[in-house]
Amino acid sequence: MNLLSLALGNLRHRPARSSLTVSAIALGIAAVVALTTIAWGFEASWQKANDARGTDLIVTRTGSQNAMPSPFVGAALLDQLAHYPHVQEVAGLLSEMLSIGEQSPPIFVFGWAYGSYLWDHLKLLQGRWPADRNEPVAVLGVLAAEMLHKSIGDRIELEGQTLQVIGIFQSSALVENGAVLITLDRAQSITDKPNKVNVLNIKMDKTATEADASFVKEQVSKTLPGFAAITSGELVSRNTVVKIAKAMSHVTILIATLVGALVVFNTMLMSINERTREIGVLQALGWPRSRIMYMIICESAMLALLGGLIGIAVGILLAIGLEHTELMRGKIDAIFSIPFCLAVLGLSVFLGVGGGIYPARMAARLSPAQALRHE
Amino acid sequence: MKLVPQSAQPSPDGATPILDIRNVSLHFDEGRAKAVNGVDLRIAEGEFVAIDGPSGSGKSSLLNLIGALDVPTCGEIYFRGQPYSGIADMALFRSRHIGFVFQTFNLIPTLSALENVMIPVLGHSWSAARQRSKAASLLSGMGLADRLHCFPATLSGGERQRVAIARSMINDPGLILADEPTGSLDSVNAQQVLELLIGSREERQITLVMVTHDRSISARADRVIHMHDGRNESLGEGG
Ligand SMILES: Nc1ncnc2c1ncn2[C@@H]1O[C@H](COP(=O)(O)OP(=O)(O)OP(=O)(O)O)[C@@H](O)[C@H]1O
Ligand SMILES: [Mg+2]
Repeated sequence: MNLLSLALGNLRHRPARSSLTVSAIALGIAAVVALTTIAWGFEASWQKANDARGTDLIVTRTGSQNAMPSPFVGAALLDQLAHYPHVQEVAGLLSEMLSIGEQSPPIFVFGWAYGSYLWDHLKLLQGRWPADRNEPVAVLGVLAAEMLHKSIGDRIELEGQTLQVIGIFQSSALVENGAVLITLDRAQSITDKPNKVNVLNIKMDKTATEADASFVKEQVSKTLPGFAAITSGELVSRNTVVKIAKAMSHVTILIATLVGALVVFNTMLMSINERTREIGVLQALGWPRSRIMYMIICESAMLALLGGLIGIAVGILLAIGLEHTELMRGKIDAIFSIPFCLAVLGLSVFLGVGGGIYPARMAARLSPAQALRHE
Repeated sequence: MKLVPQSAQPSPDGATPILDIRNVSLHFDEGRAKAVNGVDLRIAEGEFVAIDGPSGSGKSSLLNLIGALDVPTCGEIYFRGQPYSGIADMALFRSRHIGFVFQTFNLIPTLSALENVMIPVLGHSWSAARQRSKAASLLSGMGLADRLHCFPATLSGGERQRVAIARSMINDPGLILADEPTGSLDSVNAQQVLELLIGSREERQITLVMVTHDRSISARADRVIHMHDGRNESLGEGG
């Protein structure tokens, strides 16, 4: 027998109350896990896509770097960027979120400069790539093909234009697997934005260093008013949607922590009230105040730890479920990392101990004689 | 004027008493309730003292003071010559020197008989095995060898009080304080519990201070203290 088994026994002695408390904590933690993995997954998915493509810097309009980058005419800029030292290649990109057909959920449509490095990392599973920059065809990511129920030879309708599906590819990035891919020229024609791009992607050569990338950034901000060169990570983390998602997850963490701590607080207060006499007995039997405090804190930490474990499991299931809803499928790659789960577990214990401290101090401060007189 | 530190007076035979209670009072509600009111009492090492008196006369309050569960409003208690007011850690003092037996047993319901007996030594440096074996042998001595893993709810009143007596002895106390230990038991069980308590304290030479209303019990004591309105009147030798 030790303090932990004693604390566990006290919790098991009141199964209904303990399980209610654990459930309340688990719900809060589940919400934290689901929202946070999705908010961070959203960011990570885009980061992954840019990393897979080999993009080092992205040139976008200064004013729209926080939101969906607004299109601009890219040709002149592209030439200038290509002449900076260590820039290997510059590729234009125009992306849209479009609905294909009436019922299907919106899907990413990427227009990539024909023949650019952007295509290199994709693995063609079936069919072929577009033959030239104007061929009216589309290739689909594996997930997009599955969601749209399309295979090679089928036709898809995009903003009134009919494109033939000629290839199916796989990428290491989920967002690309869930996308429809066409050439930049086709995308400009479909969306009625001739010569325009959302962003220009810069790939540096193999010998380029951080300093070379910084040099390009500086040059862009000096010589191209209205434009900024940023890393893909910066682009994603400045995105308003990502910021909102993160803010929501922060608020959820805060609320879940407060609610969890209050629930633990209330439970332990009730428990101590009922056990006043028992605490007096322990004091009479020579238990120091510190040990009584420690026992109560152990109890509250155990409640919270169990709630945290269940909450993490439920939260992961919830996030996986959300990932697979029609609306989110192929757009978000929720990330569950061991450090994240440990941090959430740490948060649970923190709220448990936080909620248990005051009741524990109250219990430890009881006068033994008064506690023993308690009915 | 010479300032002599107050200390315990040796008893007439020269030995330091285990308890020397000097003009001790315990008041509640700003003096309106005088639970203990100027008690003077010396108890010798190994003595069995019974305390009786009407309800509300301050017996439990006096026991609480002796057990260092409450702090006297005035006066001083010395344990083997050491004043209570000089003891920094009362919990440690209790866990080393004092055993308690209560009228209502006060076992912890979530713990087995064996675990209940181990509570007082949980924080001691003893190994788990030593705690267990000592608790088990005390329970065997109480005739509960086959009840070690029973929970209090499944034990009879007499059995519960025997567990509580085993618990009061696990720390080898010099002093056991028992507040009406047979008050919740029928006469057969009361008799059995009493024999076990008196028997083990003789065996271990433990000083016993017991509050009781039962004249047949106080008759077995070395001395009976009669409490009345918070004061004590010694009735001398029991029996
Ligand atoms: N915490 C307290 N606050 C106020 N009054 C108290 C408190 N504790 C004890 N008293 C009072 O002190 C007096 C003595 O109480 P105590 O419990 O010591 O009596 P007792 O002799 O043990 O009685 P009984 O035989 O009924 O157990 C009583 O009048 C009681 O009401
Ligand atoms: Mg009493």
